[in-house]
Amino acid sequence: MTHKDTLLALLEDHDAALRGIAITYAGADGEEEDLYQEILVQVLRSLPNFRGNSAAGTWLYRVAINTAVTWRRKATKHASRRASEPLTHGVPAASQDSQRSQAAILTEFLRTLGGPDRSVLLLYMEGLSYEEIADVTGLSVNAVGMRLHRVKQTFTERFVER
Amino acid sequence: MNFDEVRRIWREEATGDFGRTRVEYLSAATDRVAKLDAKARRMWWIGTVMVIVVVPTTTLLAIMQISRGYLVATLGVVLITISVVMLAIRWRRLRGAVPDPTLPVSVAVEAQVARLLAWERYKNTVGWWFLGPFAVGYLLVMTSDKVDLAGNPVSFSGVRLSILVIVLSVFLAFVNRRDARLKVRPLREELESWLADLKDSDLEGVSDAR
Repeated sequence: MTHKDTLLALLEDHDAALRGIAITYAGADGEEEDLYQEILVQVLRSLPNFRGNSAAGTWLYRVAINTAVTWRRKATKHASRRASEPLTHGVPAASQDSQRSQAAILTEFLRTLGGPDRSVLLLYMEGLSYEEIADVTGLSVNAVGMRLHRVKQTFTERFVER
Repeated sequence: MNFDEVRRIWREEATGDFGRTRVEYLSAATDRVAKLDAKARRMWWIGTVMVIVVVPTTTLLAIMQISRGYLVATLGVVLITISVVMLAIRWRRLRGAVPDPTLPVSVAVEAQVARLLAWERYKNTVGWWFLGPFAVGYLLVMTSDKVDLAGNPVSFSGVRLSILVIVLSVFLAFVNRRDARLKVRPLREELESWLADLKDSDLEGVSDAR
């Protein structure tokens, strides 16, 4: 099995997650596809060193978030522009009903969070346990819980009345 | 929208619509990996050949100057040799210190901060340990050698070349320091705040979020 086949198999389960990371960490219009591509490149380059010490999903999320963080450094000039712009691009595809706006609101909210909070919430929404999130981010399990608690408070203050 | 719903909404709706299929992206990524690997191999060969050529050449030049007994010119060659060797060592060390993306995020960010700090130091000080000594060494070789050769006047073209090298060195030192201040330092500081944020939360108590 080639590395390309291995990655294709991994993407069967985790492609949406990688796209989600790309969307929420991308700097400016149209950059989410570039970031997604960059994540795939880094995963392919790292695959020969994968020893199976952690779950494939955890390993994949580490590479994706580390790539996103580094990639943002390159595209940092867009950061201030992004913060002041309304969300008009990179909104996740959704059905035609009201869920579309909910997904868009969620993406917008993720983009307003600081780097570590964004990673923790993203991984939480992908269904990872606190222990798995701690494994990906390098935080303690307690710290993951604390961060999610804060994010939940912020989210509730901002959106529950909508 | 309730926070308890975010998992469901995200997993069901936030699928991303990028316009190309997964296989197309993967093919493009595979091509890019092949190109990056080829470029890395090329850079390794270029670096190795440079070291193989530059170090023996400058060493030979130094030996020749020492054997001729021109003290000032010898000092110039020694300065050039040391600066070139320093550049080769520091450049290879920095180029090779790419953080492993498979590490936990906090560890990878820490490694990235260390790398950026090393780049910042490199760019801020390159004028002192490479450009300056190289330019001074060049000046010493170009001028003293001509004077010492049976008392002939200093070659005007040699002086002009030396001035050119010095001006170029000052310009490059300025560009590097500007790069460190405007590009590398902001990135490092941004990542450091990321890291401080991570570490800060790690010190806090048990959450009741579950």
